[in-house]
Amino acid sequence: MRAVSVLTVADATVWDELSAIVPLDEHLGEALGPLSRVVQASFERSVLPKLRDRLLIRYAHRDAQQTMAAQSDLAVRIARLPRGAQTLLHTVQRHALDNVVIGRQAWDPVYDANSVRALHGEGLIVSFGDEAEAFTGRYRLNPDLPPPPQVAYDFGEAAMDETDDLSEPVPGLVSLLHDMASLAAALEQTPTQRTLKGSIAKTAAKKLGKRLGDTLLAKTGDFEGNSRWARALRGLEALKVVSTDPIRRDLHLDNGLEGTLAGEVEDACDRLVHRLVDADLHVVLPAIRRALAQAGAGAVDEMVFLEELSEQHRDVLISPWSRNGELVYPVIGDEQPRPYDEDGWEYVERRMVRATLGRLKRFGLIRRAPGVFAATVDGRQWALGAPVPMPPVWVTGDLELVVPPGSVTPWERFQLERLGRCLQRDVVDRYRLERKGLVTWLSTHELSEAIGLLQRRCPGVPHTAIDALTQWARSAERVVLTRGVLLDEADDGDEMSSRSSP
Amino acid sequence: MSYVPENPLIAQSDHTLLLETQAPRYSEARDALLGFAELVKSPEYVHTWRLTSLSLWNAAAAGHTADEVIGVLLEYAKYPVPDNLPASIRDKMSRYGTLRLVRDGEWLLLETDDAVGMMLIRSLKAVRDLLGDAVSDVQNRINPRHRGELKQVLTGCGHPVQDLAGYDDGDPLEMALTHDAWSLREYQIEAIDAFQSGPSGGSGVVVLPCGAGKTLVGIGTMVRLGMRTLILCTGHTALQQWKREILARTTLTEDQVGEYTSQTKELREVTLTTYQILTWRPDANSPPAHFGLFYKANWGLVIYDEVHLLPAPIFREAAYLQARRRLGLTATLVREDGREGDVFSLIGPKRYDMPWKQLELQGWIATASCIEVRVPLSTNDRVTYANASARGRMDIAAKNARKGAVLQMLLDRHEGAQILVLGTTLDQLHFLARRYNMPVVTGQTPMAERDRLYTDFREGRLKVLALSKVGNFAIDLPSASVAIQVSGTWGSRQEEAQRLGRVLRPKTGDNHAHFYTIVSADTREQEFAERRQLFLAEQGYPYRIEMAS
Repeated sequence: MRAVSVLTVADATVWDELSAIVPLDEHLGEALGPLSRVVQASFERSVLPKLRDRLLIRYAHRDAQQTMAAQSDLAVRIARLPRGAQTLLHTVQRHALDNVVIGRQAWDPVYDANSVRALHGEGLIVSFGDEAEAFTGRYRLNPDLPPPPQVAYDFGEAAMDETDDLSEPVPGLVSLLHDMASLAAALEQTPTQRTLKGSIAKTAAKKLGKRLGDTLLAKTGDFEGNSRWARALRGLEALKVVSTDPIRRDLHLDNGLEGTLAGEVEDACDRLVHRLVDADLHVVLPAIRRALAQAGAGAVDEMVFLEELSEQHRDVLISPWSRNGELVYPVIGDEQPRPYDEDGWEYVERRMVRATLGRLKRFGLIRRAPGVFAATVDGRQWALGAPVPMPPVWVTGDLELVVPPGSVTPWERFQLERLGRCLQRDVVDRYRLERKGLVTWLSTHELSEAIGLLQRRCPGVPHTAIDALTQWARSAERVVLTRGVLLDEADDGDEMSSRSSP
Repeated sequence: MSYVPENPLIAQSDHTLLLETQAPRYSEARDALLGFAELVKSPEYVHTWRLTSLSLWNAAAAGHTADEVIGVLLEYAKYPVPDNLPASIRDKMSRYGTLRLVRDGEWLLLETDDAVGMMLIRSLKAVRDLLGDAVSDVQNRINPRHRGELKQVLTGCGHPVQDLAGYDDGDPLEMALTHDAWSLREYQIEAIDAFQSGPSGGSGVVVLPCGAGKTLVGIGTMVRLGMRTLILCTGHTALQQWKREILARTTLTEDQVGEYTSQTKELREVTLTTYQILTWRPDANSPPAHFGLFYKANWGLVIYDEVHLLPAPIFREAAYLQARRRLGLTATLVREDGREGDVFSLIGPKRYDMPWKQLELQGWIATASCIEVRVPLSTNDRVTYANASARGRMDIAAKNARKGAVLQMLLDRHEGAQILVLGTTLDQLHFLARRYNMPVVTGQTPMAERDRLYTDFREGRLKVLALSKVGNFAIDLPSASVAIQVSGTWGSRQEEAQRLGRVLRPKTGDNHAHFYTIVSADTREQEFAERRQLFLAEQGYPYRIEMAS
């Protein structure tokens, strides 16, 4: 197997057209068919600069079919596990952050050792390889694992009416998610550089402002003075999806945004909360989310909630170890184990819950009063999901998109803003679909996904819009250079087949 | 106020109003907006309106109050109205009426109730040369010749002038509509009423789609006013059409309707002339030789046909004609030079506008399918194209030899229909005309020959006719039901719309027209085609794209 770049043309006559501009043959390798040829390293250096405005650069990626195949293979492997190992897998998943789990937090290194070996054996978790920390160190989870089942919490007893003394809500995370999506799309399309002092260069900030449809930023170029976008950039940097090149000082949108933003609003919000909350508090979040969901428009009695939580699935918060016939909290090295009893609950889990509630209040998801907490508007969305039905997005024949508030998820916003230029950011946002946006889109996605995105949210996408996208894609894909194509090489080295779809 | 899903209106903080056409209260809201907002575009699903200073001042002039306007927004809003809007509406509307222009014998007076306000006006550099002597702290004398320019400049500075000086009545002219088996349509009567309504009525622009009978609106206005009238047309053919219509639709006789052209200089009760004659000058340094026509008679009404084409020198002259009633007629108030605003300030505000699709629904214009047929270049052409300059590329794309085969296919598809072939590149048009045996009309075609060909086409003796840019405007060929565009002027939105307009006259039978545009695939021509189609897309005409194999 080897990774190569492949040049593909729409029809065989295009080879002549390209050869009229620059001699091609010496830079091309073996043919994968009449319309595709592997390119040699010299192609990127000698040919690409001359053809850059005529070809589309794409990156090979796994298609939905391949992903489904990988997931069904995993399902078979999970089904083969003993019941204990299956239960442990769910605990592992609940304790994982970015698909990485610390062994000592998820299992008992002694009593769960066999189950851990079983997971390891099926390729569901992989050790980072630190032998000194066998069973207690870091493990990476297989990225195709299906999500664990939800914990069956019931906090019905804790639900109560809102009280008058609840704190004032602070700006929540949903608007931040949308802003991060918008800014990420703008950064992808607008070269942005920091100055030596570290601020965003004024000219770049103005261009960003134009791209974002923010007239004030476009006029002043003061990015750091614009609290909305500065906050979004801090968010993107905290998620490690935007980085600054240390030499050229330009900002890059890296991979990984999808890891937070994908799915519905509540999913994205939940993932962002997980990234903002300290890793050892993550395990508390599902319980609080469930309590808020059950309270609905009301509030939650904190005392009753804690009491009910201590009685329900306590092991989800912390998986106890068993030592000398007694349950104890996990320990590091030779430290004295703490008994896993009621005092321990007061000392450990109760404090974890309180600390988590404090964080959620700061993120604008809950309001608090002594002994009571209640969801804010964003918190309710995090707990209950977006209201259904969402208002529709309108796509008009002149290729404009009218996007009302709450009509798209943050991930859809990111995708829409890659496809179109923002004309206006206001009560409703307006975008215009552009060829340039679609070309950027095609570097990582398929046309069908773009059309699917519009059709999912718009009750009737005019055929003009679909025609325009199809034709733009057709003209952009006349000549495509696909990087990172994996080729299977047969033993004799002659027969090759492409494994990744371009 | 919170989210009201069944309401159709979304008010944006930049004064844009979006109206969802699928919402149950759409029609109600649309009628309410007509009084104080301007329709910007009307594609399917969401129409865009805008609250401008001018539209709010016009609303104030028509007697609307700020509270009424805000009330409409609140009544139909789907989301909370941004806080800045009500304040801005109140501020803008309160300015109307503070400055007034009134008659003072031979002169005009600019007056206000506020001495500080008048000081502010006098301090404006752009206004200083237009003001006469100060009569008092709150009054200034104005030369009537500066009436238009002063209003234009002050409006531009955010100080609307309520023009109470009235119009000079022209010489009276007895005339009536003939009403032999025809009558004005409801929307045409509404347009005439709108033109005259309000204290400042009597000047303005009526926007109606091609084929909707703008000429009849002009004639109706003329009859309603009953005054001597000067009509400015885009060319000889349009002039003849006006003349035919006037004689057919009114009681005026041939000796009352004159032509002021290069051949004839008749000055009659109703006089028709062209923009070319008016702007003609003997040499580059001389002033236009025929501007005097504006002052040769006591005109009560001046009609500017296809007002979006108004040449710059006539703009200036229009500024001096503020004491005359002025009617502008157009289908496409888009100018590639962006001077739409000047049309409004010198001819008058938009008085009436009707979305194309609305008239289509009512059956007053034909339904139309717009199809863009993309034709690939041959391999040789593509190689030449790849190495050509920008201009060369456009030329290669426009003259793509493969367009001929597509044209043939379309001519076959619509055999028996009345077909117009429209182009801009003359050698291409002549080549196609020779190859497919069709007569062609260009700027060089003698007038008599043009008239003969148009008549033959109208009467069905001629089925296919090729037209160069001369076919872009005001040619009345009602039987044409198919238009095939083989080349165009860069990205001109207005040309595209006007060309579609050639086939929009109501048809007998299924009342349907076909508009094809043939472009070379994957070329600059394709990119320009997208821009050309923008105005029509905004009017709700979606293009279907077909690939020629």
